Amino acid sequence: MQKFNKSDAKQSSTNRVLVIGGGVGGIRAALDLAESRRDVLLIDKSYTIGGLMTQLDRTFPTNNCDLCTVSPFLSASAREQHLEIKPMTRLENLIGEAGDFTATLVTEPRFIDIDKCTGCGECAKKFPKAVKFTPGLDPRAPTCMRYPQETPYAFAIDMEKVKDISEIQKVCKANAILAEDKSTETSIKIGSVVLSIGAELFDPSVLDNYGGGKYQNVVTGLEYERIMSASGPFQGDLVRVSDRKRPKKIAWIQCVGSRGINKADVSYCSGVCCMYALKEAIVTKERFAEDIETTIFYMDMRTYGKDYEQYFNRAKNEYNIRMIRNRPHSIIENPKTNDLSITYALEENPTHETEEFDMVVLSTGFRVGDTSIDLAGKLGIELNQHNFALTDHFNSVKTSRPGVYVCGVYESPKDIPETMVQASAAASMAASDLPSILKENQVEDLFPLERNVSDEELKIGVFVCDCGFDIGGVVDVETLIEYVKVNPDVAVARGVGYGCSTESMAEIEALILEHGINRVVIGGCSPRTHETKFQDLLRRVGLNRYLVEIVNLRDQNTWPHMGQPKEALEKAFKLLQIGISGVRKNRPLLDNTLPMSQNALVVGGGITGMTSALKLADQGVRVYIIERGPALGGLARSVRKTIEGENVDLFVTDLVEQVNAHENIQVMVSSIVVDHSGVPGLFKTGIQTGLRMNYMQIDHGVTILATGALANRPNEYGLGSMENVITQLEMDSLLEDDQEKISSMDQIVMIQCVGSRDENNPNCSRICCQAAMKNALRIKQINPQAQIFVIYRDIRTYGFQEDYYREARNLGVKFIRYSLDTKPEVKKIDSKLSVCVHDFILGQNIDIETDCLVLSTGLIADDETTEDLAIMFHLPRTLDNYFLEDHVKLRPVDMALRGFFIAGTVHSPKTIRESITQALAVAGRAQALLGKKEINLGAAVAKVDTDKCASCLVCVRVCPFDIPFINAEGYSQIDPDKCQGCGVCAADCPAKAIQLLSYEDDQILAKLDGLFERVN
Amino acid sequence: MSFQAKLSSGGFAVLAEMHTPKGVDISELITNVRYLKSRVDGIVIPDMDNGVMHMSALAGGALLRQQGIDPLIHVYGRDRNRMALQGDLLAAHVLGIHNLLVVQGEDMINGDHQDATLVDDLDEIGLLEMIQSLTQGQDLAGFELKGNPELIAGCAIPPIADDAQLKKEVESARGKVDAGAKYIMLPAVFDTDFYTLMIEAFKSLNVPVIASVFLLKNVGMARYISINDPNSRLSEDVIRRIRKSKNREVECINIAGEMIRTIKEVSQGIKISALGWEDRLPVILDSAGL
Repeated sequence: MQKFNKSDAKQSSTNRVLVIGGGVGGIRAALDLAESRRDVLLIDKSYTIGGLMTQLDRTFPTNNCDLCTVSPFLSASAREQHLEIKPMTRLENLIGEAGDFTATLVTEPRFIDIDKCTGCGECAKKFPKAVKFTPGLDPRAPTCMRYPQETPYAFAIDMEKVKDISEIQKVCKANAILAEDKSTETSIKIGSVVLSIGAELFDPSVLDNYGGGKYQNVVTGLEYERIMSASGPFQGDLVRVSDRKRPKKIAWIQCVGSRGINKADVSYCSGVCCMYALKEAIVTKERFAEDIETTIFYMDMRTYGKDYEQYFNRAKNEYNIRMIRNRPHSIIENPKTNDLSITYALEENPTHETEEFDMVVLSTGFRVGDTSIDLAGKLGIELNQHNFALTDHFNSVKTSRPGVYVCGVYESPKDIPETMVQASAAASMAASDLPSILKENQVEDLFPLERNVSDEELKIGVFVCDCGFDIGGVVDVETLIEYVKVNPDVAVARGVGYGCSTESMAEIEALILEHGINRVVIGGCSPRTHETKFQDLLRRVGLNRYLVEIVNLRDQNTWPHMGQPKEALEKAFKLLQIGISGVRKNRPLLDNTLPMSQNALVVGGGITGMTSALKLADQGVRVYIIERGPALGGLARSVRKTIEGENVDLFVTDLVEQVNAHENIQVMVSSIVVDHSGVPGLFKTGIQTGLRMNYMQIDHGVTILATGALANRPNEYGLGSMENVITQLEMDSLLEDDQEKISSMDQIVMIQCVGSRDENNPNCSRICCQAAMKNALRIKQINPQAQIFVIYRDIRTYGFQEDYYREARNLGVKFIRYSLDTKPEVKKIDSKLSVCVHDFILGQNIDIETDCLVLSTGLIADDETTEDLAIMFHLPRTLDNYFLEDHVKLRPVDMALRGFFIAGTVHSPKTIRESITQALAVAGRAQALLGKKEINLGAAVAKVDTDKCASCLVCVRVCPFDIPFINAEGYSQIDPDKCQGCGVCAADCPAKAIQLLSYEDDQILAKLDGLFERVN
Repeated sequence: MSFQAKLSSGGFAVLAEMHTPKGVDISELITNVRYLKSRVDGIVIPDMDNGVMHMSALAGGALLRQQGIDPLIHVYGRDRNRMALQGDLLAAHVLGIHNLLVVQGEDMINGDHQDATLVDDLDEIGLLEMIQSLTQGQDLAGFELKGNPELIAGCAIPPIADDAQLKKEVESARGKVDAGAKYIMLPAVFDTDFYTLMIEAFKSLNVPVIASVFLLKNVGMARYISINDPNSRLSEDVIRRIRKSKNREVECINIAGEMIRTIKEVSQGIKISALGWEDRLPVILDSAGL
């Protein structure tokens, strides 16, 4: 592909960010930055990018494979201009300071010239041992490869395993294999660093009790993913390693190597294993056989993410996955059958049971590897006690070294959505060390002026890809070329191999210029993925982008007709004829563009809204903050201390001051949203302020919803009716305001999951377990003699919160489990509160007297408000009334409607620190969108021929978007800025007065002519 | 029919409220006015309402007059001293503006010019007396005017919490009527029973009583008012009604329409505010059967 003076395009070396690590987090951060017109260098020590996620089979909770969703909106040009990828590269040294770093990088030899490699795979076929290649994704779904040549399509030679390099060179038709290649050291100027290196997975073979690495049928969670994966060792068939037979009984053992006290264990919780075990068990049932027995041995089921509790409930209730609360001591293999027996004890039954399983999956978690520790040293960042990157208490992506940001698992164990959020947050922080958003005039026009082709004779260029084997393996491209060559007006017809590769694109461009081509037909893959790429190609040679016709020879022909090459060839020819005939009628069209409003509307003035607003305002965006209360601050105003002991009051007060003082922020308190209209990039929202209800409209390009959630206060356990029954939030205040009262208490009982995880509110409130630990530890600090009982269902102190749980246990806080069937009861005996709970271990009810009953009530969605906003903004909600993001896994802060973003507790319950991370992420995402400056509405809009229009009102009635109206001149008018291009009016207009541009009648008819025409 | 003619004929006066733009683009105002021309007896133009700087009500009133609609403009003492006020009122007369509504200057707390100097030269009684004096041909310094302006002023009543306050406000209004107020404008209340009670109480002053209704726009707004303005007596039932409705905007318009129908039975006039949604005023009138 042609490169646009790459060096010139960069304003200065300080507009560049170095992203280390090419997993989903690193990719997300790099794409966000590139989209915001920041230069990015993405390096990865592996020979390909993709990281851990590409090795997974399916991902929870949607059970889809959908890496494609990562970047649907990134235009190819932004990618090419701003994003550079260097695989097999590591950082050696970083000197300087934020905004002005110099990084030393070392790139290992690949022995393949990436510019020449077409990714055909011939070398890997002939020399599988010496050629490294991981397709990563399901090979039967090549559409998953979003960046065929840029990833890069990932071949590398392992020189140690090569006997004679010239033998391999012979099989490469592209001459891409290099006999000599050496490691190179480069030095680059960067403004900031995003560290997204993930972590390693624990290797259970160091444990002697579970037989990991010893027994064939004991596998790790990731190995199980590979077994189920279509690209895995058994081609997607679920079989046992020992005898290749389908297992009937599978067990998962949770927390292997995590949450432990033994030598090989780590003490923290790996955060993701509960969900992946549930997912693997569900997928096992869904994909393979309903009757496979699945059992999960667990300590606490930690399904604390958004809607994860419901996933857990489905696993139990719909898929009948058996849950046993126990951490088995060991696994013993039957040497004859290779079956595995597990001995376990049930909580309510002290005797041991032994059960046999065909397969056991060890749910292993994350470990920091030595190379990561080494890299941290080179970067000069501090690590926490578990060797993960140490970050700021109120900013989870900020490391100890200014200008170096971290995202993903290397910050703390987390799943994909949280990694994506942190990646966008890190990108947003990294951008703030660069000069603020480029001025309009610095945004260079990429393309030359368009040539006027209206008076030119038709000259059609036909270029047919073979797409490696995908097209070329079924139909003979050269035969096709011979066929189409003879079509009238065809000036050039060529086979171009991988048409989308750098070399082929350059060849097509040269041919167009050489022959004066003015219409182009590409025979290749789907226009859905590649149309923009070829449209950009036309623009580069001075042709209008609508003069190209994409013929989908692959998805619509060679894939479905793989087994019928003869018919496929005939159909390919027909399809090309349709394209050639149709392209004759293609006319240059002008895209309708509107200048994008550079304002942002932030709804909600809590910590989240304020953080987003500040971040955007610092980048020169004008921000309106709408808060319905009389002052900024939100729910955080009622929180005093975080679990780390940080003072929330001070933090909020400081934030409010910064926001109020910022010249780019307009704060509107006592204000509510009352109406909304417009298109993404050009919204108009009506705001009403104060008791006198002053109304004003705000123009904005993006909208950030940060309206938060409500502190739940269910009428349970005497809350609101009995004295000394309070919530954790009230205890938090009491601990600050009345320590004497705390000192006077002898016994304190806490009840978890009050108003959460039940019928009315099925999800987990996520924050309450850590709140209980926080308050229990503070009580113990003030009053070490106090007896504290925590009555819980599952303790969900995910990640490093586990440290606080352990500390509480060590200090003698007692934990008593209850279930929904045995809910504790609160009684008042002689004016003393008493809680009655069933103790599963003792097997009987016990009464605990308490001076104070603290209920962990968590958060609940503000149904009335989210409903009202959802109606006004046309946004979807979850069943429990939070906003529903576009994609729970990969686009966790973007709404499906472009220009809308959600952050904080309006997304789902979360801690202050997590809310801030999301706030930073949406600021980054919003910036990326605003970076475009223009809204391209496309050219495919309905156009009315005023001579033919009879003002019959049919279009007015059928338009699903209410766009057409009869204007003062008495004919139908369709505003191209509002038209969605659906074509309904064009189809229904009885007078044929409406044409949908680029799908006009004569164009469709020309295509039909092509279909029925016989040329030779 | 003009507002005054309607009141003196004993008919039911229909007023709509419209704001001048913050800027000089008057197209929206003029468009909305045109749709109402044949349907209302006058249009009320607030001045710097809520402490937010707008085009002056004087210019707004003149524009309405050009469109052939009888204007009523707000008069208040917060931003102008007696010199400026008197000058503006003489100007009002020559621009064809004869209806005034004397109001209290809003607190600047939600205003957009919070650093503005507050004048407060005259209070509401002072303003009414000043207007009376001008119409009698004398300015506040006792000098004679060359040509007397014809001005009719009404007074506004603040929100009322309970019966005790109602009594107090009636007495306070009596003072305003004595100072020259020719009609009374009541605040908006969502409880029609209480509204009837209010109207009956103020009728004892023997001047026409005009009620006020404003358009709720969504649940968020209704909730805001119910929490922050208990005197508006907006009940949970109203909020529930909007929430349950399939088309909330239509439901809000119907609520306003129903209010107007009920109040029409007891008051001499109604002022309808759409608070930025002036393009919906015609459908509110439709819904009220006006």
